[in-house]
Amino acid sequence: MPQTITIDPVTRVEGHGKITIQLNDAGEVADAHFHVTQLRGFETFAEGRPFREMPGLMARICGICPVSHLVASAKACDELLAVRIPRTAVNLRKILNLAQLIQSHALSVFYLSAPDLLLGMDADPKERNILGMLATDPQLARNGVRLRQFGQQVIERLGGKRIHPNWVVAGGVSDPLTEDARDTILAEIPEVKQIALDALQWFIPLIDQFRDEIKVFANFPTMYMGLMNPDGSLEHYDGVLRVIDADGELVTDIDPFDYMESIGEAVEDHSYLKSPYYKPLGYPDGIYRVGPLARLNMATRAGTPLADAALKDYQSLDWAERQSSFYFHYTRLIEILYGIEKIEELLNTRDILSTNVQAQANVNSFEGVGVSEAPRGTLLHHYKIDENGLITWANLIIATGHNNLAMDRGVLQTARKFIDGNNIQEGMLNRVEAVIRTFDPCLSCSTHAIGQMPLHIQIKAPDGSVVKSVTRG
Amino acid sequence: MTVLVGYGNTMRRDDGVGWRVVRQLAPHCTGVQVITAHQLMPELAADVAGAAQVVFVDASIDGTPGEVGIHRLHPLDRLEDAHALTPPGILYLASYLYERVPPAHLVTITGETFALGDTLSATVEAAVPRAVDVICELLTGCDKA
Repeated sequence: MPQTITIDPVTRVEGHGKITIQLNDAGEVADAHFHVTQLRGFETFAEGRPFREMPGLMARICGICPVSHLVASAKACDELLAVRIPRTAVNLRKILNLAQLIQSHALSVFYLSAPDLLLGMDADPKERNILGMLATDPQLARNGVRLRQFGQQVIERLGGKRIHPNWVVAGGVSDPLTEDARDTILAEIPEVKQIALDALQWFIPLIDQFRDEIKVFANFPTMYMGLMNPDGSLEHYDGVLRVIDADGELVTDIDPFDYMESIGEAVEDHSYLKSPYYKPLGYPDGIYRVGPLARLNMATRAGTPLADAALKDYQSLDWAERQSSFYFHYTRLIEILYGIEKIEELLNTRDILSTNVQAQANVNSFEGVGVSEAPRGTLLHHYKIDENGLITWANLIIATGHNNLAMDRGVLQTARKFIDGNNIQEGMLNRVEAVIRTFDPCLSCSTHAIGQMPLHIQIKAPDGSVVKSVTRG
Repeated sequence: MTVLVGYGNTMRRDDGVGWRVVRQLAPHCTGVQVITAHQLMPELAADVAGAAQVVFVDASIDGTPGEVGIHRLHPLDRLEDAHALTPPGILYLASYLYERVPPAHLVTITGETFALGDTLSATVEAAVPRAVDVICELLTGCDKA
């Protein structure tokens, strides 16, 4: 007799995901899919708006990574102005973007995934949350809180508020950095740098406890894509948009303005999230991944001393092992360290307090593409405007979208390893969630759930009937 | 250092009154850290624990629209749900993680409408000065009173 388990979500409307798992006659997993069931529609909202409104408008897409949208949107608007923005403005935007990366990565690692890592995938779900983490390791919780706080305070000191700052504008930033704000941030760097180092020392010994998960948590060869400096060092704002293959070899460097020649967007009827793919290989063979795993599998060096050493340790792992999406966690922690070091470096550039922070210009081009590296990966904003500067068309490809194919395939791989259709255990369900969490998809952020992600899992019999339906939240 | 936290959704009309009040107060305050937020998150506990005094400012659905309320706060005995943190929940985290809880108040302004929009209702707009005055009386470092 079909069984049904239902656990209603406690989270808000945004960020709903669903997983369906198809069983064969023997009760084995035949197929599985990850579905995103929410529709935002920002591309359509943008039509008819003055292009200068776009950074502030697009920042509203997300409460966790608004800065990423601000930066990519402003870069697209810079192209509409066809200006080279002041060097100080570039560096200030970079600082803001890195602060965003630090606070977002800290949220992912410490608030959302640490309960699994600290307490175990099979721990009692009543305790496997941030409260259980607080009880088990308060210092770890303090470290996570401090890194989040640091990132948010840097954003606030530059942009005026922690969420949805409007400071990044077409042509640069609206206000210069004050000496007091710079010195305050610099004074905090040693403390948070040590916390980032401690976090790596906490995580690395845990790896051996998750060998089974590492084998199947979206562990397959794919291409990777991300911004990168031409010398192969990490970059989250400028650089080239690079694609490497599953063996780590360079495929191509994409001119962002011509991204449509290389990136296609497939649409599946089971999800509102589009599935970007690398066009020359077709769909779905053109699967690739973005985000910290991609960036650190692509980079030959980080570009800052401590992060370089951490990256060297990470890259001492076999290339084949580093195909596991479990290592998103590891690479997030390295990027937190890198972000702190890089912010320090940028704050010490000689013209960082310059008051020349915005290029003034009118429309000089009717089409602009802006690319930045968001915490979750490559973020692309593409606008077209009319002669009055009004948006006539917009296309956004967000990081979670780039990873959609890999998340979908990762769910199937994990389900095949852990699901016994005749004996479904809670720990199995948690692992299906956890493989999605490794990617830190935006839908989990926007639900505001702490430590849990609302997932609706369906297990279907060969005739399509639902054997089991589980909603977690 | 006093921490002043105005929180709510500025896109749901009167729910954004906390932001308005703390921003109106900010120019009159010295030694006050003003924080605005859509919702209360765990990292706020670090700011609160380091403060000499904390005042949260939020919209309320209880009472008559425009009514200004003052509530002395105490930490929760335990936190059972981290999904939606409240001021007493933040105080609990400050106590648990940092072993320090400053004197804390919640100032509420009862909302009239929480519909979509970024303006306050006339009733709540008129209540903003009263809320500012109430907070000034609570704060050390406010020159408006």
